[in-house]
Amino acid sequence: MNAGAYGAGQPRQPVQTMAYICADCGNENTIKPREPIRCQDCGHRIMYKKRTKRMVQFEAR
Amino acid sequence: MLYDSVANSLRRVMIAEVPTIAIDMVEIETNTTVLADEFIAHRLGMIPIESTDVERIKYTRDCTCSQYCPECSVELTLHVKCTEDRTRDVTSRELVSSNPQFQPVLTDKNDSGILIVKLRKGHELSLKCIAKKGVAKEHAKWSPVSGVAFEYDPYNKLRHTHYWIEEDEKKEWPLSKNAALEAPPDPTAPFDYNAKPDRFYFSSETVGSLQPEEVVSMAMKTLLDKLAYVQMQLKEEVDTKKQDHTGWGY
Amino acid sequence: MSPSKTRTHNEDIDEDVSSGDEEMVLAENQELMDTDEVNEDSADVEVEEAIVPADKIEIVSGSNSDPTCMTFCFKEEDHTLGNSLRHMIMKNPSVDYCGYSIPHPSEAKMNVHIQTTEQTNAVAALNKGFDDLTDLCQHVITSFKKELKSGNFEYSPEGKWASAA
Repeated sequence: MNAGAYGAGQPRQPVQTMAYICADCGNENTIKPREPIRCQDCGHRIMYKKRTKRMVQFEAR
Repeated sequence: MLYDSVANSLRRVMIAEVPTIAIDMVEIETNTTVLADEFIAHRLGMIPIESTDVERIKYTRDCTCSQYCPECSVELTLHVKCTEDRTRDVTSRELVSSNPQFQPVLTDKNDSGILIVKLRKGHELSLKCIAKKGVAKEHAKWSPVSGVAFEYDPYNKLRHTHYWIEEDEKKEWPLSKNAALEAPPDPTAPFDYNAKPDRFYFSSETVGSLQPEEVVSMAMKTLLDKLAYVQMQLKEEVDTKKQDHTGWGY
Repeated sequence: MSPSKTRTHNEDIDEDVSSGDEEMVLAENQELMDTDEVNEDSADVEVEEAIVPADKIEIVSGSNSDPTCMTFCFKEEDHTLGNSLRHMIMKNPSVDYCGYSIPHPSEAKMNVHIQTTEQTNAVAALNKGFDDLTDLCQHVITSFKKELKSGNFEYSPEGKWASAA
């Protein structure tokens, strides 16, 4: 499928299960794709995505 | 001995062209504080760092390394997590420097340091800073002085200034502190039109990265280096022209 | 979020010149015929800095015919150098006129215009100005260091750290 020309990083599929953080209680919930969004503890329906694992760099200016 | 133009050049160099070390790059690993990444990075950049040995550090653009190395930069790290119920203050004291000669400035051992951010329980901050050599011309964080005051002729004997008065000059315009260091004018003496300004009173307040006397010495040295460099460039330019024989006969 | 960029304006110019972009340098000053030569000379002679801008000083065209009346254009310089240099050059008795100007504050260029009597020429006057200014600064720095060594000073009491020091 890949001609191999792209080659940027590892050619893997996006991770299926991701951890999100509930907006209310701050709990971590693992949500699979196509699963209804709902906190496992408090039932709140707004989730935050976790901070990127990549290192961000800033100019201190 | 010192001319007013040279004194002004010295003042300008003290403010803008004396090199110091300041944090220039911040890599943030974790930040769950109430302040944004770039906000914290900006605050870190403004923290003064002891720059007495700044001559040993090269400019990053002049260094032979690819990105940065211990010869052209200083690495500082910060890892704080608040685990108690009360507010945790993160100050410049908690920055860990890779080079002990270059630490964030502290007045004395009781100084808690410059406040960077406050943490609540559960907040965490983890980052790595790269401090580099620079001059205030590029960004004000590299300026070693917070202010330079410059005065000459406190009694206005040269009449360089004309006071705006309502009634009495002596009552409305109090003398400066530097007037104590000069002889008061003789009211009967005629105006000396040949007098030139030759005593200059500098008052400099530093930020802590350098001592005031170091700032003055380094400023003069920087001015000398600048002159030498430009003069050499002039010589090169003239020599090049001579080779081209573009009509100069000397 | 913000990509890291360590390049400043200065450095951009340095990089352009040292990468041998002849067209750009030639366009900037038509005077310099042997651009390569200047670059090499600068790179060989200059010990302190690795990268040197090829034209720190440019002799403005139109001033070729008369060596006693010339305009020099200094790149990356401002009043810090200009005012004191102008003052020192004016002190020279064989200099008729010396003035400096900064054509536009957004551009880091400074023009110095010198007109001399027949006894000398503009380049010599400029060199003498540099030498005089260097001597003056050297004198100031040695006197200052001497005074410092004698330890005959104190920090101003308004300073926060006067008590700590």
